[in-house]
Formats: sequence, structure tokens, C-alpha cells
Amino acid sequence: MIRAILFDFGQTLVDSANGFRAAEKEAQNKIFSNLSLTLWDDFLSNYRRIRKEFHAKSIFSRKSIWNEVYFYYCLEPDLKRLEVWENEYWERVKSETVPFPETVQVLENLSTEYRLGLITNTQGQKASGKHRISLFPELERFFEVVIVAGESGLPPKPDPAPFHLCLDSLGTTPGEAVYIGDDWRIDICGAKDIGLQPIWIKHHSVRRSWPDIKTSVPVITSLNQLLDLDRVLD
Amino acid sequence: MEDNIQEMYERAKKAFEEVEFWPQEKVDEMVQAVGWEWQKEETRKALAKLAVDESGIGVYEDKLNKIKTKTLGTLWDQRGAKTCGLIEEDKERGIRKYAKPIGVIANVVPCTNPESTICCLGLSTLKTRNAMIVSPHPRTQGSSYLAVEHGRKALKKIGAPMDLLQCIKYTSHEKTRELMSNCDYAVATGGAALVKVVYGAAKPAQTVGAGNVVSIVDETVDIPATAHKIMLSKIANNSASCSSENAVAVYDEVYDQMIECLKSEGGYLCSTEERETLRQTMWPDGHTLNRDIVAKSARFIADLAGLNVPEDTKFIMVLGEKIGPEDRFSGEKISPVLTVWKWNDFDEIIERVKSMHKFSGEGHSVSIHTERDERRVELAVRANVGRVVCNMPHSYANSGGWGSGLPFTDTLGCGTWAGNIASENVNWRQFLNYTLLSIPIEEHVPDDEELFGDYLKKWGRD
Repeated sequence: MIRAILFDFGQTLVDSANGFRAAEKEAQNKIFSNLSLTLWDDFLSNYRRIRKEFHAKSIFSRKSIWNEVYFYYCLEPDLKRLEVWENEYWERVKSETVPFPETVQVLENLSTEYRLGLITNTQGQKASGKHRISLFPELERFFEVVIVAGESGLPPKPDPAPFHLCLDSLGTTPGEAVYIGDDWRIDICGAKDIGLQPIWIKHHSVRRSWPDIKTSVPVITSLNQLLDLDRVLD
Repeated sequence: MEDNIQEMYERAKKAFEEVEFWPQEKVDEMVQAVGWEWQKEETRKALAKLAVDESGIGVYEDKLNKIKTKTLGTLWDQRGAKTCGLIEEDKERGIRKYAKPIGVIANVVPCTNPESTICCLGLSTLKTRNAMIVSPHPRTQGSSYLAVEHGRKALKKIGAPMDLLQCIKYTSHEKTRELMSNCDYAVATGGAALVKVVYGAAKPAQTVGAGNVVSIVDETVDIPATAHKIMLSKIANNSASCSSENAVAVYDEVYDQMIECLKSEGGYLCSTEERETLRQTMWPDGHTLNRDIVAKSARFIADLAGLNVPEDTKFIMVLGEKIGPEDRFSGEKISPVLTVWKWNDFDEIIERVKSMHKFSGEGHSVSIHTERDERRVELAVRANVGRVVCNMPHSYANSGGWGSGLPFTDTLGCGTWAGNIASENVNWRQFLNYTLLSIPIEEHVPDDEELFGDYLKKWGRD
């Protein structure tokens, strides 16, 4: 019997896709100009490859990714400048992050029936010292437990540790909970690995390309579908 | 091979301990085995092709030749050298000198020479019974890894421990730092930024400095022949080498002839407007060299800058204007772009070259084409460089060549002028520790006459 519902944050409860897109574009322009290059396509391809490699290792710190880009081009970056850019990056993401229209209502309804938890990876934000969820008190209030993985010695998802910590804090077992997330590797595979039932959300309003994976994992395109959880799990 | 740096170090240490006390004959056989493998045509072809394919830097044919020359040259420099056990004895002083290895050496390799640097340093570290772990450049990690794999194959063939040679497969800034912190010694072939990183790891290290070779040409040499030598050196591997000429300084009386000869050799001389366009492409922000033009062909750079140059252009020339940051053409360019200066006073051109080196390339090298030996000597005495190369294509001679007595290497120490500990061509000599065994000799305390004789005669005892 399902007693708890656990959520990821970005692209699961809120839409940050436009914010990320804008922040990335700004950062790429700054770095390209600072590296004093002329071949934009070549730079972009190297930048994206390096970013992908870091994301695959669950490293989301922009400073680390950008430092590696400078290393590739044989230049030592001004680390203080990278920190400033990183702060600007997250400010931009924040400013363009909005909950999905149905998020508050769905969480309100689910919280009457289930215990709710949130497991999110830190993305290396330095500016606020807090995860983006803290900017949304109207969402945060529904969660009994909020786990920010990837900081204070807690490894990031898909490592089992943050999943276990959340379940333990709620006093539930993997068999008594479901986990909703948007990232195949980090969320879906991470949850599956510890025997936690995943639900893959590919929200209809998020503009991004989803990995082409054939799976028996339930897929939803709106949080509203969770209101009939039995049907989703069927 | 996995990229767990700590684990790689442990394996290297174990391999090192296995060969730490090997005799000279066994070591020499090991070096020959690895050298033979690296100089094979099929090995060189694979390495050169991969290096050019993955980085877009340099010229395949030049790399093919360079790998062979550097491998054979390094072996040639090592022949007969004693690097194991007792290597010197001074009976009069009661001293016996023993050569000892260092341990595990980190080798940070550049993208401009991702294979030949490994050949030179790999043979040198093996000759001295050290283990080497390579940190490749991300742009050329495949070719560096392959070079090491060939070395490992040769070690296996003769039953030597393969882990004497290892390479990080998927490199990163973090792994490079970790490697340098873990190893016993580091050697890093790269510019000033890398020197900072290497010494930041707080391990003894060999580093190099930026090149900015100026080739001085006077009226005593055959001008067409000299122009040909400069062209050969300038276009080799698209000027990926730090030994490539960055400028030529020509004596007034032969200046026009030299310019014509350089043009005949495939040089294209930019007009004032074209020079400015090229400058904006080479330093888009005004001070950082555009990495997109490094070791690219003259045609590629010209196209990128929108210059209309003839099909057969081999290198681009610009006239020298100012020295220092206000005119970046006076510094290192790592591309087939040559700055041309005119001089009429030898004393003045030496000072001018020194000013250029203060801005870029101090400690590295300078070239001179003259038949007047006193000019060579004057330059050697006054210029703060590790090498003065005379009447030779500089990049084919400076780091070793069959017609030059300089030691073969891809790693040119630039002395304290560039923040390095050595100003020599780095080879096996830099990878040894020495133990001096001292036995009692007949005591001799020198008297005042022996120590101060000449001084006391001239200045007295007060």
C-alpha cells in the first residue's frame, strides 16, 4: 500500500526550462568572449560535450563545468569571475522558474492522503546558500521532508543515499512509496535501483527533448494524473 | 585502465619498485624495446593520424617525421649513458656517485605534441628506472593514450612491468591536479598558466616557458638559403612547436632581398589594413591568443580573417611595429604568422630582442643567421635564453636535430627567467637523484695563500 509520494523538484513541480535555456545562453556568450575565440559552433560543441560529461557524473556546479571548458582551451580562468557568473546564472534560472499551473492544487490534495517528501540535487548554487525550493514557500509547506542531495556529504542522486534518507525520515519503506521525477538516469534509474516505484513525468509544458527510451515505468504528462494514483500505477 | 588516480599511482609505484635496482643492461634493453615500438611506421602513422583527427592541430606528415626523429634522437642521446648504480668515481676525493631513480613521475602533455612528448619523456623516465603517468590534454587524449598503450605493449613483450607507463584515459582539470599532487615528481610541457598549476601542487617539477623565437639575419649569409631555412622551420607542423620562429629581424642592407625571398618561399606580406584585420582575428579581445588559430594552416587563418591570399601561401608575414602588449605581433603566436623587423645596428637589435623576450618568451631561445662568430657569441652572452641556434632551421634544431648538437626533447626548460628550475633541454638527466658515497681522504686544510693569494697580493691584508 502506497503511503508516501516523493518528488523531484525541477521540471517535476516547477518549470525552469526557459530559465536554464536563457542562463546557459548568457554564460556561453560570456565564456566564448572571454576565451577570445572565433569559431562559435566548435566552441558550442565542446561546451555541450563537457557539460554532458559533468551532468553524467551528477556534477551540476557551473563553476566546475566552466573551469573544465577553460582547461580544454588551455587557459586558467579567473575563478572569482566564474563565481560571479555562476551567481548570475542561478539568479536568471530563479527569475524564470514557475510552478506548473496545477502544482499547488495537486500537492494540496495529495497531502491529505499521503505523506510527501522531496529529493532534489543541489546544482552548486552559491548565491542564496539555499535550494530553489525555499523560494517557493507555497510548495515547501506540503513537504514533511526536503532532502538536498549533493551537499553536506550527501551524494547526489542517482546514488541510493538520498532516497534512503528521505524514506527513513518519513519512516517508510521503498515498497510503500512512489517517486516522481523527470530525469531518466538520475530520478527513474536512481529510484528503481533501490526498489522504489518511479513515475516518469514528461510534463507537457516543458520544452525539451526527452531521451528515447522504451520502458514499462509509468509515464505522466501532468501532475493532475497523480490524483488517480492507482490508475497511473496500473 | 581505469582513471582512479590513487590506484594508478599504486600500480606505478609497484612497477617502479620492481625495476628500482635493475642493472644498466636490462634497463637499456627495456628502453630499446619501447623505442623500437614507437618508431615503427605503423605506430607513427596511427599516432599522427589520431592526433590530427582529434585535435585539428598540426600536420600529419610532419608529425610522422617528428615522432621518428624524437624517438631515435632521444635513444641516440642516451646511448652509453650510465643511469644505474655507480656512475662516477673520484678516487682523489674519495667520492663514488650512485644514480638513483625518483619514483613515479607525472607527465602533463600538451595538445600540440601529444605523442612525441610522450616518446621523449617516456624513454627518459624508463632510462632512469622511473615510472611515468601521463596526463593528456583533453583535446588529444586519444593519441596520448594510444602512445602509452604502444609503450606498454613493448614493455610486456620483454617481460618488464607494464605499469611503468600509464595514461589517464579521460582527462580533466581535477584529475591532472590530483595526479600532480600524488606523484613524486612532475614534468609539464605547457605555458605560464600550467607552470602555475604545476608548482601549485607543491611537488618538485620540470616546467617550460612560452617561446617567442626571433631569428636575426645579417648580411654575411646566403639570403635565399636562409629564407628557405626559415620557411621550413616556420611551417613545420603549422608552427605548433614553441621553437618555431615568431619573428625575423633582418639587417637593413639585405632587408628587401630577404622579403622577396620569403615571398618566394610562400610568405604573404600583409598590408597595414590586412594586418589590423588579422590582429583582430588572432586576438579578438585584444590580448588573449585565439585558440581557434593555434597550429592551423596559413590558409585557414587567412580565411578566418577574411584575407584574400594566394592558394600557395605557406605563412603570413606582418611588419613589426611596437614591442609589448600594445602590439601582440611582437609576442608568441603558435601559428604560421611571422613578424618582420628591420635593423641596422647589431647592438640595438640585441636590446630589441631582449625587450621582446621581456614581453614574451624570455628564457626560451633565439636564432641567428650569420657567418660572424663574434655576433653569435655576443648574442649568447647577452640574451636571456636557454639556447642560441645558429644558421639552422630553428624548429628542426632547437629541441634536437641530426645536424644540431642540442639534446633531443619536446620539453625545453627556460630557466628562472620563465619560472622553471632548468634552462636545458629536458631529457634523462633531469630524472635522477644521486647518492655520494664518501670515504676518508688525507686531510688538507688550505692556507691563506692558496685561498686568497691573488687578492692579497693586489689589495693587502688590511
